[in-house]
Amino acid sequence: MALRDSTDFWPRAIIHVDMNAFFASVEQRDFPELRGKPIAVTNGEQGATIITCSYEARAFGIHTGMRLKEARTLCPDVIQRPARPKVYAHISTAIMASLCEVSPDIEVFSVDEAFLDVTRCQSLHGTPERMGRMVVDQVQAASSLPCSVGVSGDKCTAKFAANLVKPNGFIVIPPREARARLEHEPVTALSGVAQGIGGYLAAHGAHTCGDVARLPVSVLARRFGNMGRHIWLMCRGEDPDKVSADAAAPKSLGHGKVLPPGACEREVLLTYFLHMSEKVGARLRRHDLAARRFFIGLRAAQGWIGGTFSLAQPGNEARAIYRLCCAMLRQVWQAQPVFQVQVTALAPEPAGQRDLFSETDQKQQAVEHVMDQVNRRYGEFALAPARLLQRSAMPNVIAPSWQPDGHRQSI
Amino acid sequence: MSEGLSGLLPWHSAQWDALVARRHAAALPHALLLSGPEGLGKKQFARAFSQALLCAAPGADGQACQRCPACVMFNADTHPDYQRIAPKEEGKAIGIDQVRELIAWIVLKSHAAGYKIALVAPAGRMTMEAANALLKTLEEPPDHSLLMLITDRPALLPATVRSRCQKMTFTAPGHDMAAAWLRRQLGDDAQSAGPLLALAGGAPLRALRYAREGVLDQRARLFNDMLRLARGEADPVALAAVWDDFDLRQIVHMLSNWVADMVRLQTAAQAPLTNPDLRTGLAALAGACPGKRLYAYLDQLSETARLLDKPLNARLLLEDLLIAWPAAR
Amino acid sequence: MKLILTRDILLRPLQLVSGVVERKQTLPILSNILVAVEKDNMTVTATDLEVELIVTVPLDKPSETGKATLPARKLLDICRALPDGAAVELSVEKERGVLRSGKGRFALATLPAAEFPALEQLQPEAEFTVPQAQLRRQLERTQFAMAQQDVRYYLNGMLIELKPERMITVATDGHRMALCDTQARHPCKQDKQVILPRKGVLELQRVLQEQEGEVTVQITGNHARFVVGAVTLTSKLIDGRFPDYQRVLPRMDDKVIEAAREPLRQALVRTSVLSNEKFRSVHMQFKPGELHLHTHNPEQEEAEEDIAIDYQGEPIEVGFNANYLLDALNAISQEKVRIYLTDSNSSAQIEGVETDGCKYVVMPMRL
Repeated sequence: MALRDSTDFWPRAIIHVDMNAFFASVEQRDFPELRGKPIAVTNGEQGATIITCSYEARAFGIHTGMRLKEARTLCPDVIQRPARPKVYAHISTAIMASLCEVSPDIEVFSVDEAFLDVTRCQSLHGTPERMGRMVVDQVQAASSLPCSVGVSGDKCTAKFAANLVKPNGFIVIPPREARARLEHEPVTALSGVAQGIGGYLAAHGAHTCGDVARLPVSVLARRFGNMGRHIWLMCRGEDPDKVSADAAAPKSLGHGKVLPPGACEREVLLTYFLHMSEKVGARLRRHDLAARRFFIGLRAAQGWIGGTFSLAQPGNEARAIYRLCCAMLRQVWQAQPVFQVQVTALAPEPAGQRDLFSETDQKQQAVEHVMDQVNRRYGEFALAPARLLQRSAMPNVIAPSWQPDGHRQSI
Repeated sequence: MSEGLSGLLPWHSAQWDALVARRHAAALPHALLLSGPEGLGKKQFARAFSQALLCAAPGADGQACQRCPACVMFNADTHPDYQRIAPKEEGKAIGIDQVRELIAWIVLKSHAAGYKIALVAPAGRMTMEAANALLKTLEEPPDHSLLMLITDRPALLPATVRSRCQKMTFTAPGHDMAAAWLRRQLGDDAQSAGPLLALAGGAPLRALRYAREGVLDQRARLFNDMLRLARGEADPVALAAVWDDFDLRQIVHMLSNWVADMVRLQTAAQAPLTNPDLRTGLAALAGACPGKRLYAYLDQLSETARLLDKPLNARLLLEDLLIAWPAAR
Repeated sequence: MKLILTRDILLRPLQLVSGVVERKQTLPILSNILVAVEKDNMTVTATDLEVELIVTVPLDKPSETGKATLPARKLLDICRALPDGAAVELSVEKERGVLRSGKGRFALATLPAAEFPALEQLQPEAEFTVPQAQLRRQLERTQFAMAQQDVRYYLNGMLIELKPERMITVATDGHRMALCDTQARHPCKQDKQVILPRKGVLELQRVLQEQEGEVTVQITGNHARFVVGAVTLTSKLIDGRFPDYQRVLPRMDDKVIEAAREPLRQALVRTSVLSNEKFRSVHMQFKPGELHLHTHNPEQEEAEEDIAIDYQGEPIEVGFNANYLLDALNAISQEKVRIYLTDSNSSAQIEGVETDGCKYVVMPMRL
């Protein structure tokens, strides 16, 4: 056992790893002709919004969320690439699995970000800095992709640190130095501090983390409750948030799709909703999950319309989910133009217990079971309701918190 | 309760007769949506009809006898076959838990082997989840149950809920009937009935509430302050501090009325006004600012009204309104 | 109203009814009890609008008739704290309930008795008696399978079905079902079904303490009333239709297994320790002469156990929630049980080998 030198041993040691411009980097890795060029990844060929872009593109001021049109005015040579979600998912899974070699306490934060709690690995692997280097090597070995790695004593500072050294950087902020390093940083530079809170703090003359850290904690707690207390601790480099490595069932499971411009025909929306219902249902069934509550939404100019709709019994049948979508259209959609559909199963739970008086159609369940088996073998929607023949080739929306399918099982 | 504040109000008779007739024909709906502006006594109507339905010996006009054991319990709010749900706190929503409790109650058979009646007021305050939970009961209501949904903004209810209810609309009574009733309630203060009714959009109960809250005095003071603001004698931020404790909804309502009157005055000096008693002051204000600014201010007022349901800082909204007062120099 | 009695005679009815006194206090009068004195007896009534309990107490001292509602909790706490055998005088003076005992005087707030939502006399459509022990057994054997807060609200209670010469109780949460069929003398010529809500069932179980004696059952369109000695319990009924329970009973001609109950129960208890905490699923492989149990959980722990059974049919594998099987095995008191299976997707029926009218049906889990 390595010696526990009191100066080297950190009370908490957290590593944050962030894949730089992940999707764009994968494209540049796989297609050498793209290297060194400004790349914008969009949802399929028709995607108008940039999901992510390479650092070369960022140099022109292009950023995630920008419309492609706008990007072209900044840089006419920007190269559009359709996203390849399956490839990204595969790579992400491989990276996350390789990181388990460093510490089993890993929180896959999103498809391209993870936190590792290495506190308990210090006697095994050595200093946190050394383990940070291990993370860089693991990512390199698993994917040959660039990443930024921040090592510190809490999640917030580690993430903040990794942000400082993009792209392809490595940085260590020992916990005892964290507060001093954050002292002059704007509060809004910390992840999770929204503009609204920042505005409130600014009104109290607190612009930097140092300012906030000097405010009495009660000021924040009174105004923002527990969140206020949390922010105060974050500003002191003492973010109490734990790296949650539990392999619990996903909190939600959903699919969304961008609609063609000006979509406001009921029939079109129904096709899209059926498509999403089939996808969500199939995915629930694949993981032996069922849900009672579903978010059914349409994105309109003023924001999301729709809401939470419930089944009488937890279910995973596409038909049942689709019926909720129909109810949502009847109830809240007033023919306004919409850009995106979303169907999300909220709080899915293990399915499997059969019901004596199941109102769901046994035949329908059998049909979906066969469909699942065929589709697993021949690919998604090899067998599908006829209506989906009209489904669009519009690509799936990749949510920011999107996580590769089933990564938890493989880790 | 004072005379006139329980039981039936004079302008309810058409709706009342219609429901009583349906009751006699054994053709009562399972769900009723009572809608109409605030201050017409919709809740009172629903209560009176509920009591009549539970009463053992209703009179010839269909009204409750007030004497039978059922009426005694009803008046003590202990009748087991009558339930009402409302937001737990002022301004909050009616949550799904409340609706679930209501459903758990309504799926049990009745206590007195008669009707079981539930009131949801204001129904528009139900969250989407709560409304969805209620939907199933609206679709398959138990026998001998009556759900009464009350709202002054039916558009806030999902279409699926609305479509499963029989609608009953309440409109403001004629001015004479409203004024006569209000004068009786006001007693000594009968002469303020006119301005109160005008302020309340003709809704008598709302006018009566205004009288109790001293809204006319507030209105006079606010108008005076707005005149001072226009003359540059008052500071908007200081004024906002003074008016901070008052109901912002009320202030927005009064300002909207005044600006609408100012627009009218710009069109025709002799135009009929909602606030005829303030004609001189309003004319002076109207003369001092361009029509465009009045319209823009009306937009701001309706936007503010929309934001009132949101958890925003009321003081800031008020400051914005006072700073933008179009008549200000 | 005025009455004189000893502390112990007053305390017992207060304790009996305190269970239904509303704690939430949505209606203030529901935290009160109604005390009524008529001729030579006193009744104490409590209700939560779903279940009403009335206890009748004979009075041997002269009393004045009358009614009042008194705060249940406070009255109970005072009585409890009085010495055993103390004489108590309870009366209503100027709308206050006054309790005198020894040198103590306690004046309690009252609410008008006419506002108390007590039930009137019922006009029963069916009235009959059953032995207390029999009714208690029927509730015990089935009650655990009732649903709790299910959206299928008619499952949140117990079906009581009257068929010629029979009374059947059925409870189910959709995943499993318990049924108990016994002989009963009742006047119903036609089949009659009522659903007693969960709360009514649990309160009835509390009331059925004695082995001896009969229960008078009265059923009306809206209520079921049970008179047990001095206690009258009335529960509202659920307004709904219970699902057709006959339809979900397995065919019982296919795969029949017999096993000793206790070894099976213990093996299930042991193996289920390492089952998924939420699922509680246990895989059961029935082979001629042997049952193989297997569980595992997300932590990759697993348990296996073989026990001897009496079975000659085709091998079959079924998954069950161990808790549902254990509930059934706990409710059966016989040494040997019989299990009927059809296939791994259909319900299984469990019962004691000697016919006693009780059956348990469990739906499997997907393997």
